[in-house]
Amino acid sequence: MELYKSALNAEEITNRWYRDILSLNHGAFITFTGVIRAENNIEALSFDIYEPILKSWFQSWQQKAEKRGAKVMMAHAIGDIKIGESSYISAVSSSKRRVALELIDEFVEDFKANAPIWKYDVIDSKRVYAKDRSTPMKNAGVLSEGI
Amino acid sequence: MTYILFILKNNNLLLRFNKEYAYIINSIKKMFDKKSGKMIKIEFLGPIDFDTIELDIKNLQELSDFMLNNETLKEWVEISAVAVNDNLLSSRDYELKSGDRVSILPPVCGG
Repeated sequence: MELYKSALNAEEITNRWYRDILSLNHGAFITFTGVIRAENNIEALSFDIYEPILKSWFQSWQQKAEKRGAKVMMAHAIGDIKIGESSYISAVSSSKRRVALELIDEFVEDFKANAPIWKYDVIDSKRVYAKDRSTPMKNAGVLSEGI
Repeated sequence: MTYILFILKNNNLLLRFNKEYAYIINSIKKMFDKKSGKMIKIEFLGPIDFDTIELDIKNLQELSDFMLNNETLKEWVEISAVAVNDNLLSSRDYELKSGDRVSILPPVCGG
């Protein structure tokens, strides 16, 4: 897992991961790259990350992938990332295509739902929490149990 | 008569000693309680606009009560996940220990 306090250099990261998986004798390598696009008059998106829980989330995905003979990779940016820049890359490699195709979908969707990362729109140089696009994590609301 | 007076005097002394003894024991107990009070660090992550605090609480019910009684925090109670020492909880039934660190994680959106 790689975290950067700047936009991601997508070419460098994905090329390096591609070279790394060649030694694993994997026949399939799939990448997903998130690019900041213009919408709602934003200047940029901004990200906060809680690293300890992100690390354990990623480790559990490494174990899950390993059991299926696959490997997962991930990179994310911290702070403000401008339109046209990349903030997120995920990748999966496996022996055959089916496992990699299935895993990249599950991996990216679970990332969106449970990775401890918070997104803000940057408008007029101010950060506005993207609350309506955010998802409560698994077991959210545990504090209000029984109320 | 002398003997009776002697017993009464001694009883008074005993009573006085007991009172002083109780006061000392209570003072020591208070000091001990203060030192072993459950100070729990609470950190509010991401967009929750609230500084890290330390609370003297025993469980998550008390944390929930604290948040529900705070104008800034109450909106986050139902939608946030909770971690203790970076382990996410699946139940509110959790006994906090002194020195525990609780994190409140609001809805997420990476990517």
